[in-house]
Amino acid sequence: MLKCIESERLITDASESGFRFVDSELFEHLKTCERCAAELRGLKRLRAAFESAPRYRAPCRMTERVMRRIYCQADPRPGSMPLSNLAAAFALVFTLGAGVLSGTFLASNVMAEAGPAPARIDGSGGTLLAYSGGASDPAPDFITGDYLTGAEDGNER
Amino acid sequence: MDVKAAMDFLERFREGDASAFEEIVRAHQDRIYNLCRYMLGNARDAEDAAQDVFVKAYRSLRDFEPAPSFSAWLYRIAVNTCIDYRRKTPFLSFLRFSADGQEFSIEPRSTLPSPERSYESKALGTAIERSLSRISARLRTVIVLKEIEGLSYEEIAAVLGISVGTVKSRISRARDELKRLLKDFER
Repeated sequence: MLKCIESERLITDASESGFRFVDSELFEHLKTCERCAAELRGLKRLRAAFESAPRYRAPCRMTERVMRRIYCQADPRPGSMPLSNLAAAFALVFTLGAGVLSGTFLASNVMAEAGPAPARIDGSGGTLLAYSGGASDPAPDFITGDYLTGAEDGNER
Repeated sequence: MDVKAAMDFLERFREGDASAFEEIVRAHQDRIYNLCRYMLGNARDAEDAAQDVFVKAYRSLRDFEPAPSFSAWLYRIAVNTCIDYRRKTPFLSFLRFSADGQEFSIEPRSTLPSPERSYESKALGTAIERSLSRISARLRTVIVLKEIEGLSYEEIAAVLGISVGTVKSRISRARDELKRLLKDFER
């Protein structure tokens, strides 16, 4: 009596032949073993799927395009790389420009609402929205205070 | 293209006949494009990759040695090119500007009688394409070379530079994954 492990090998062999040849012992085994029968059905389905899969043909004029690229060896991708570089550069400039513009907008509008002095973040008043320190402005306490001295509660050496 | 014809073209190419390479491209373009199409899953990347394959082949053709066969050598370039394409981030494909060529597919000859069966066959073909795009590049490569391109285990081993045993084991794993995925698509 055929064992399942031998049956799997025979099923694979049958699959290789496109299921034209199925071993007689395997045939008998499949009558009684649902697991191996399911394995065979799955492989047959897979075979049918591959036979149904389309085979693609190269697009028209591909040979001409290849030969044109070969004749322009100095630029391996004539026409395409400069354009893609241009598009990438444009995207970068656009992003930077949008960032600068939105930053300027926020600085001029939000800071005008918040007033010249920054609100503190130590809980003594308001919420800090933005800080625009001029060269002549005195540094606020939260910069010059304990924060920079390294003194922290509980983990000092 | 048989081995003798390929060697004749190569001989002419090495003697300075550039048109010989054009004949090589014509002879292999469908198979290489089909492989790229299945490896990459879309027409635009497939055409770019297929063009790259032939340009790379042209550049290194003078160093080509008859072993492995010319087809295996070309397939190897194609597989490596497709793997490189897959590594690139997806958004880069939007920055590619190859002309949109018209793509043709050869519908497999249906042995099934009715239009319903023909429709079912088409749906099955679509399901396997989608399933192939879900498995790893390593498994997809071997199964596409075996089932779509029709290469033998030995030819696949020569293309990929791996042992026949490794090819068999990868194909077995690919089949297991594809059977599972096909079931999912058919639910």
